[in-house]
Amino acid sequence: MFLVWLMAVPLLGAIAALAAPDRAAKGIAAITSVLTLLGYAGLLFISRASINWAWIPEWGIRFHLVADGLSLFLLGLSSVLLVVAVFASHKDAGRTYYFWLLLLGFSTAGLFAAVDLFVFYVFWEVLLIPVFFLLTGWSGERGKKAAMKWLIMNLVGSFFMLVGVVALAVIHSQNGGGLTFEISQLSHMSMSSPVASWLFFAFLVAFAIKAPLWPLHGWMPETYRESEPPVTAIISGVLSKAGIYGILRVMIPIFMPQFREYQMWLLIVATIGLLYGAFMALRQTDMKMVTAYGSLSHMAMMALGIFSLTQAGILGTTFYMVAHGLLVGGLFLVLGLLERRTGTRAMADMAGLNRSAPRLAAYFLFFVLGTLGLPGLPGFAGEYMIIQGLFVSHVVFAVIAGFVLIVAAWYMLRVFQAVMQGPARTSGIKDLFSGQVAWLVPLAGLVILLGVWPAGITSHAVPSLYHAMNLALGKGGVR
Amino acid sequence: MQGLVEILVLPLLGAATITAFKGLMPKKLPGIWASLLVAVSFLLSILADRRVATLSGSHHVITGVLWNWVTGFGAAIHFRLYLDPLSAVWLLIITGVGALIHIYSIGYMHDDAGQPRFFAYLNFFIFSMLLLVLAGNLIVLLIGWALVGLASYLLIGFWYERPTAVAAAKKAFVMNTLGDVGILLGLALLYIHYHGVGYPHLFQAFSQAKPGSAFFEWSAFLLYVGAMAKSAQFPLHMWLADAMEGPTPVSALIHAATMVTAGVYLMTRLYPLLRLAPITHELIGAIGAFTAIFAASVAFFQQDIKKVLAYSTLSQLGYMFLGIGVSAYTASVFHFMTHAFFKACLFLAAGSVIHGLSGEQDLGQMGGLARKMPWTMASFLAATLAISGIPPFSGYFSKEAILGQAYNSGHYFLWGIGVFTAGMTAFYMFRLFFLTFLGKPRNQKLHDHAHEAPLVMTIPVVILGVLAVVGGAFGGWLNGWLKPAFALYPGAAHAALESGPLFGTIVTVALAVVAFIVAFLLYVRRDTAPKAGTEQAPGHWMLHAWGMDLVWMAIVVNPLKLVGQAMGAVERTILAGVTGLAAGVQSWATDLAPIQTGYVRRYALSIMVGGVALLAYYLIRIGFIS
Amino acid sequence: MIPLNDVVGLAAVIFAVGAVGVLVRKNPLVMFMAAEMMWNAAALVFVAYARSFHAMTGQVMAFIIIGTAAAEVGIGLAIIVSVYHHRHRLDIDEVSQLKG
Repeated sequence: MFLVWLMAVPLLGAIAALAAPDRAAKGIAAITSVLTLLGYAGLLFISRASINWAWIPEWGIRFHLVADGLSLFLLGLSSVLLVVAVFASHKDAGRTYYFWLLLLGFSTAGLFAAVDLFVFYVFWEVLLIPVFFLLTGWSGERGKKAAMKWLIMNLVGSFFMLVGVVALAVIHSQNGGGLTFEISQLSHMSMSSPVASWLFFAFLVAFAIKAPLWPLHGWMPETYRESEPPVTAIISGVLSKAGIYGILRVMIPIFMPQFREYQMWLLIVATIGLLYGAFMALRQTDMKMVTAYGSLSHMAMMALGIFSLTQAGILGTTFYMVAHGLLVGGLFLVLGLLERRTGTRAMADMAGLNRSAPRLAAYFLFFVLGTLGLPGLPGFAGEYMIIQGLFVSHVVFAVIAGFVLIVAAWYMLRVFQAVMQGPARTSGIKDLFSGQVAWLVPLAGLVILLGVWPAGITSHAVPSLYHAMNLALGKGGVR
Repeated sequence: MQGLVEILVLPLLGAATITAFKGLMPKKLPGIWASLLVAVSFLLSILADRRVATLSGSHHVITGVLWNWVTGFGAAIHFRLYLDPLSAVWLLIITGVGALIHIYSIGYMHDDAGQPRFFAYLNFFIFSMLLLVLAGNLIVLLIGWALVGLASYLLIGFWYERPTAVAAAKKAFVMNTLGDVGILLGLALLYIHYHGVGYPHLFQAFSQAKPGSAFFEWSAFLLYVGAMAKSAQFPLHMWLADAMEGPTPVSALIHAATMVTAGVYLMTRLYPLLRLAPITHELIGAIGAFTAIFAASVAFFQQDIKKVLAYSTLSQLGYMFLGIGVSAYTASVFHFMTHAFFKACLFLAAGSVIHGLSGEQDLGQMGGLARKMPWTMASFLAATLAISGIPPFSGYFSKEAILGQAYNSGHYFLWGIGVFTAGMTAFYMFRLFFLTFLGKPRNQKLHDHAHEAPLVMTIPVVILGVLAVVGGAFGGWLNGWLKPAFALYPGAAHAALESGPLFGTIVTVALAVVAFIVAFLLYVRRDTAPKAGTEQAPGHWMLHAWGMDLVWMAIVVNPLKLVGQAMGAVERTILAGVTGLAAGVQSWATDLAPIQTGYVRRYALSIMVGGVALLAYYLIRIGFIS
Repeated sequence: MIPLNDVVGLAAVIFAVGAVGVLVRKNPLVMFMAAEMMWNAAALVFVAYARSFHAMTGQVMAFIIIGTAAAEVGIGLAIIVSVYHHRHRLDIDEVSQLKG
């Protein structure tokens, strides 16, 4: 029932926000998002909530949503970031803004919970609409351009995925299994190797574009740069995880032999992305771009965890998705606060802001440290598990991943120090308001909790993860 | 578990309360509150150590799991604490010396606006360091390890408006991250092999293993990389000299007494692994000896009072690693202890000098301060004698123990380096002492305003000075105290303190005395300026640490920048591709748009034609029209 | 009893006349009437076959067609009237703003 809540509340809230006058919109959105989060909290107390309604019986499509260990914490991530994004948004952003934002919350919840491939695809597409309008509506001409790029690349990806989805269902029915889109059933079927390879890459392209993974990240720099901070936070924190989640949820159970076959290539490409993002981050002069490219590198880290095809690596990715979502979301929001105060994103135009805004600097540093993987914060736990997984599968990649952690420390501190430290050149800025601290504190608290107690997530994620991997075990399996 | 959590939590509580309520606190309260908490932690540590001592059997270990850190793949990794005689020594030094330095800081930082922040960081450091030594497995150790790195970063960059401090802080953090990654990889390797990272679990497994396999060499080496970075062993040593940008109490606490010895702790803790990795074990000793003599040579002509002490710290850390390399574990711990006393004393005394001269650190501006600052001078002298290895001061005993064992175990070359370095140490330390406190004042104006530090600063300095004098007496106690820790697993047969050959002692002491005399003649009799000897080749290179910064730039930083540039070119191509894709779609759409004419009748015609065509197709298919 | 072929032939003729009318005339009212002829041709075919096959579904379809056609007339006329109000002329080729 909480699952219905999790989707119905944002949907109703979105409609209410649209109907309400502009000045009431933020209040409605805030209430809605908090209610959603409360519903999510209810979800934590029941094991494996699910709804399973017939939708289009003729085609074997069922509206089947499950909150298992794999999706449960991503649902949490999207609920938390929705609340934070709403609170961090402009009060006068207007009702349509909040309408799209809440609609985005609705579609991500559906996406993460879907275990019917068709439903998954539908939400995958639905998601494009609010993001597109959020990108175009609240930024200038360059924002519109960025939105077009984003939409076109994602549509190309969706097209590949649609082909894959339909093909899987058709093959399943041709094998005599009847028409179904249920992932757990599709994973049992046998496919001829070339067909499976083609479908494997179709799905991979779709997910890699969304994440984004190198070299399909072309939409990323402009989109991250031009969008409003709360939107950036949700795109980088939640939507990017949808790509990785898709690989875990859809591809691991179905395409294990292909993962085995192409593992070396996948690892190499992901490693290139890992290094690439890190080095690009080191070169940037715009503080938002450093974070964007750093995030590209971290997405590659998650992909590496999956491609290691080990328990540790995949579990690490599952954890790291949530951790990174909270951290990078928080970081983008803090950068947004900073940008709103200084009116610039260029690091060269800022220095020594710590003096006038110590609290802002403290939260900035906190999220910087989290993203660079400081042990004790959750990024580290995820990276540790991923690196251990890589160690088991191919040592070289573990060493490179370790090296990238050093570069990460370098580029993240570079931003922090350029902005906050050094002799102050400009006039000071206002420190955080108490209203802003009010959403930063719980977010930071959650991050610390995950950092010292990763088992809170991993112990829950394990059963469903092993379920997914056991499905795969028959086809080569994971170590 | 009894009492460990409290020891750990108190400093964290301090950091949290000061951060949260610093606006409400009166000016002096943060310092007092922070010092109090660390002092209580110290008392609790003594109690905990007594409990360790009274435990029955040979184990002498208090351990317990707080919660599961991570579960799900292989064996669960716990958040485990662990106190044995070895960590107990560190516990006492961290909280004891830490408390003294906290108290000293009340005076030193009294007019700094960032005082609450300073004490919050300092308390956070104590917490992290305690976590490091109380860790019951390598993961928790790594968390503490990284958090001390963070504390060090925050405190080096404490005066964040100084560009040099900011740069130094970043350098320290990045180099320490390199070490963290080393430990991370090393412990991942061990976990995969042994399905656990807890000390007893690993050491039990090591006990049954045969030495010499590549696996042990690699895991030991990777963990040693971590120790190298934290303890500033060559070639990862550069950050420590730059770290002197932080406030002097920080240099005393973090960059001399405690944090930089974490590598010594780790290596001592892992002695069962070192038994299995003979090559790495030898390497540790060799690099330690090299670091010792290298840093001593750099300390020779430094102009900055803190730089001399920084390089001498490096040099002494080299000794400790030399001791580890020759299996003189107790001696290394002993040297860590005496070093904590005399080096903290030196740094704090130097801090008093800097404080008395309103921030001046240049030796060229000092001189003749003995009468102005008698207590500081006396403590500094005691500590100088200790570090120079003059009997019966504390440094003599610990250094002798390391060198003696190096000789006994047949490492004659390392022994020779150690003995020679001892002479160098005596020279540069007395140079420092003479230039600061004796001779004629080189800056009369500063000299006139110089004053002895307030009591709150002097008392800790004097206490540490006394400890630097008598610290050697703890050797026997330490030997007995650590015996159970080193008896538990094989690999520490020669851990106990041994005395070396008599002639070795004589040579070492004689060299130190000669160095003292030379320094006296040069800097007191002839009153040579501190700059002398730095214009020509060896002196110049020694002053600039043999150009290691340039070497790093050339072989690491610049190539990485080149790679970054190459990737930038690739990125432009990718972005151009996406822009091209978007433009292509757009122009395609523009080309197709005229089909939509707006004339309804044309649409109708199209529909009609289409309908007829479809109809015709199906009629042909069913054979209606042949 | 009129042969089925004749009725279907008649319907075809009516449909063709209607189709030509829609395509060649410019007055929307006339186009409308022509379209109506096409509807009725279709309805006629349904009724004819329904009678021939003794099945009621065809009759039902005829009623649906009549109903739909009536609705279409309602909406269509309304649009035409408002266009006329707007432009005071009725030429379908002038209403061509919606183009790419």
